[in-house]
Amino acid sequence: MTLSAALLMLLSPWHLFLTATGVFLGIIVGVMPGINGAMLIALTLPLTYYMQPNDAMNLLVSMYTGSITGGLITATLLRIPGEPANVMTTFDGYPMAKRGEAGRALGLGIGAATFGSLFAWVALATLTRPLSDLAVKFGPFDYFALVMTALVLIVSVSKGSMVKGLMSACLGALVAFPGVDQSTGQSRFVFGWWQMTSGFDVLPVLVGVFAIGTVLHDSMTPEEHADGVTYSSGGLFMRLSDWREQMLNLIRSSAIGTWIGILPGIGAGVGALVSYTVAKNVSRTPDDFGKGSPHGIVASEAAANGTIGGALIPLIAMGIPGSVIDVFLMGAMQIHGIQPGPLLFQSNAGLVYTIIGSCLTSTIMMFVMMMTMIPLLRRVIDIPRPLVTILVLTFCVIGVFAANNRWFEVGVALAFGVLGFAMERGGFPLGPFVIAFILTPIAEAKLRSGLMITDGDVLPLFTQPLSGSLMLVALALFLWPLVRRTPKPAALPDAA
Amino acid sequence: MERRAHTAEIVVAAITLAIGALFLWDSRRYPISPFEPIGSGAVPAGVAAAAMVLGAVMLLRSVRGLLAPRLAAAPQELTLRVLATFLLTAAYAAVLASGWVRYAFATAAFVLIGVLIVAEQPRRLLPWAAAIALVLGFGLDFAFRTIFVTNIP
Repeated sequence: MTLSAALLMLLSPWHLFLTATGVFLGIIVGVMPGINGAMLIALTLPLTYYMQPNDAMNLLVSMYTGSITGGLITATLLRIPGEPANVMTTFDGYPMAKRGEAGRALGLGIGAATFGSLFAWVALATLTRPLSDLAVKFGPFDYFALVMTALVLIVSVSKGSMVKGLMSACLGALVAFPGVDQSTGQSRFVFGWWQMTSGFDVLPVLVGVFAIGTVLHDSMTPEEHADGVTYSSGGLFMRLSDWREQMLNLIRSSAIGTWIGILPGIGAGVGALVSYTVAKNVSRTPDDFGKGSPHGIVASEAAANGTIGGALIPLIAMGIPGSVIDVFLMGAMQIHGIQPGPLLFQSNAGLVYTIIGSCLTSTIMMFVMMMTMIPLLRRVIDIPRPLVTILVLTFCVIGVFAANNRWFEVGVALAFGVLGFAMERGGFPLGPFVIAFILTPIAEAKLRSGLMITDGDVLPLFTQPLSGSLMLVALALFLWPLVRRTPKPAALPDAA
Repeated sequence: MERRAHTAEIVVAAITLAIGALFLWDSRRYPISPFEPIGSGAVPAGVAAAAMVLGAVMLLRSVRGLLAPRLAAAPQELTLRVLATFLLTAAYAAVLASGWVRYAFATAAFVLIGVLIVAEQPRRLLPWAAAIALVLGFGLDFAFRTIFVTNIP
């Protein structure tokens, strides 16, 4: 299958229905604070068991696109970011809306989001294949070093302290070990539980930590009530002068978003933050940022949406998730017995092109829905959170059971829900946990393959050009937060 | 930082220490095979050791934080509500697993009781909760059996 054939397939009524459903649900969870795209995809994973892989990926990628964009509406009209990716949009979107330019603020956001998504799609369609061909040539140590870099990167950019990020990653890695050892075929760390012979399934762990844990934690947080602003659709379509004025900002922010998406493990929130900061630093009117600057909205939304296509590049080409949501997409592929990575183009090109095509069709669908449904979508935030909490918990129990018809897995999901809740409550980032859970089996297998080749010698890991460079990057990323926090001598009381 | 956040840190640190110790202890059972230099237990042992060190650091730091004065406590009511919600979810799963109550009735009851527990003003939400209970209970039952043709509890 080629990309054009995949696009033709995605224009069939069934796939358009899946795209519309995915984008719509994604936008809805994007609008609602406390429930996010990762959670929606986690809850949808059980349903995808009964779908063709192409249909499943079409639906999930559409949810991904919708969820990143939906939060723009509440960020602008109510100053409540539906997703972390939309936090930067509140700084300028809400002040613009307050001074009677709600339609224009939303129009700029939607236009920038669409441009950012399309920019990243071009990168996705053109860079994935060459990168995949390159990744085929990676040796086991190169791959191991790449995974280590991804893990250190996600730990270093996560919220909270470095110790918490590392602990989260270690816990995720430990949870990945039980089951059959891929290298020897030996069963390990099952502690006498026959149900654990094949290890912890992806679904109950992800649903437990991300859905049950998060929803329980959010039920402890008081609901936000903000002063809404009056919405009028005036200025919803970006004017030609806006396009001209914002073109440089659009291209720069989309490129930043795409690049940050490509970096393993970090997603839309960081993309929007970096892009906003750059736009403010290069602006001739930096003081306008935070007071309703159109440049701020464009920078934030273009970058956030640029990360979608960007993050799919390492997932498809190397099997390394570019963001936390990509971990769930990777989980969906594994559920269907598909291993993302350099060989995916050879083993399942149809699926790859379906993912790439879905990224494009869902962007267009997102644009149409956002432009036409703002008044309706704004009301979504009025849905009482207790109802959402109970709805999510019901789907967690039913979904996890329906996936494999095993109550043991529901118990696993509940146990991981408690862990996820405690981690959220203690300020431990969940991203490193899920990424380590997914990537540890790959890292261990590659390390042991490498050691078999070198007869147990670990030195080539540091002396081979690619693996050595990546380990150096990982070390630098690991040490950077420690160096950055060291106070200057002048600031120390003793030195004063 | 509020008092309960430190308590949560201690819980996570204790879990990490316990899991780390369990994996470290169990990893001794996996010998190195003749064709593979490090064996099945080496990598998990390394990660478990790292987890234990980090868990110990976090435990010390959190206990020190907990002992410090000026800590605000989270409302007890919220904690109890979360505990009750979790126990209700576990009970719902247990009832479904036992097969004593049909899925549709168990789900409808779970939604109604759940809203009573979670909501601050449950009376206002009861009509919505009843509608959702019907859709989730009887509607999903129908959808799963006839459309997805799959097993539900």
